[in-house]
Amino acid sequence: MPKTLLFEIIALIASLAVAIISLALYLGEYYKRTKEKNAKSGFQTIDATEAKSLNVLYRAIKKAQAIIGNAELAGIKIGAENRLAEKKLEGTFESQLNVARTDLEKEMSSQMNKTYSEYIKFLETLKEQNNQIQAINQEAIKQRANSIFDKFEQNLGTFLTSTEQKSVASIELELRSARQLIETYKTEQIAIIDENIISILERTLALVLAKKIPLKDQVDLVYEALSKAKVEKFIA
Amino acid sequence: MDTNLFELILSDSYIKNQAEKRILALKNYILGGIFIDSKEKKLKEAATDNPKLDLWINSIDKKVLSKITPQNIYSTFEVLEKEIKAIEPLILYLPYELPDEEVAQIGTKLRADYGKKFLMEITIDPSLIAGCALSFRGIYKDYSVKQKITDNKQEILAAFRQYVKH
Repeated sequence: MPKTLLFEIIALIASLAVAIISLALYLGEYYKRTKEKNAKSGFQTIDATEAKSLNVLYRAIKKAQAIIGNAELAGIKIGAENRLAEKKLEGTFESQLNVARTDLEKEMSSQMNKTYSEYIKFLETLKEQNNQIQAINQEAIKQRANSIFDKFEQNLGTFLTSTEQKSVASIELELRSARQLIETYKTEQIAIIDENIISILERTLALVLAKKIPLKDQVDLVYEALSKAKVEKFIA
Repeated sequence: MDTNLFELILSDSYIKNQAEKRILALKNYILGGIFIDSKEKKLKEAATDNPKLDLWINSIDKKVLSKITPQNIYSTFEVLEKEIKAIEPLILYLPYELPDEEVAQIGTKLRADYGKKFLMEITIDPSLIAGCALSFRGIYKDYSVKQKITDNKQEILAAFRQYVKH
């Protein structure tokens, strides 16, 4: 409102100024034409007319000045009224603003309380959901742990069974090879014993026969060997 | 070659080593007779250090020896040695030494079976226990008691085990 009033005042002053200026210009043009006219008709009329026109101009200017002064006064008045209105408006605005602020504060407070309660509700819901999820997770972990233990038990059982089987197999193999070794050793020892028996027999016979067999028998053995060699055609 | 001398040497030499020694001893004896002077000859009562060889040399018919002259001695004995060397002997492995008579008997039997020029060699091998082993032309055959024990080893051991069981 005050702004519009101000614009109106300024427009009024501007229009007045334009009017004055146009009037001045008109007068000037009129004077000029008159001067020209007078120049054609004669110089005497020019001075009276000039004085008249100057008087008119002076009066116009004075009126214009008065108008301007009135306009200025009006403008000042309007300005003051404007300022007053502005102040009034400011006061109204301020009070309305305060009211609005108060209302807004109230509204905000209520909204905040509402939001807060909703937030609390939301948190509680989250908490509940969290608890549920936690419970579900614990259950899942428990089940997983149980299944892992079950699998572990199963695998351990399988492993122990296979280890036992392998151990038994390797022990049996060891036993078998040990038995075989014993058998081999036994066979070798028996062979050694047999060899020893034969060598003892040979030594005994060598000692005994050398003393007991007469020369004749010994020579007979040589003849027997030679006869065999002859039969076999060993000596060609 | 003087066949008489060769046959003479072989007549009672059944062992090749013995025949070679006899040939060498005879050669030395004859050479001694040719080259050693009479004084030295008198001092030397024996032809060799071996009484048996001396006995043998003295038993040889002097008529046979007279055929050997300084001109033919080396050639004669060279031929004899070659002949003896060429004979492949039968090697007898005996567990003990035989007396000369038994050796002669065996030699005679072998010559009766295989010819007059047959010779043998005797090697003592006590491990044979009794009997003998023969080797002829690089082939060895064992006819000894030891070989018989080896051949019948299993039966002997079986008998022994039986004996031990009871």
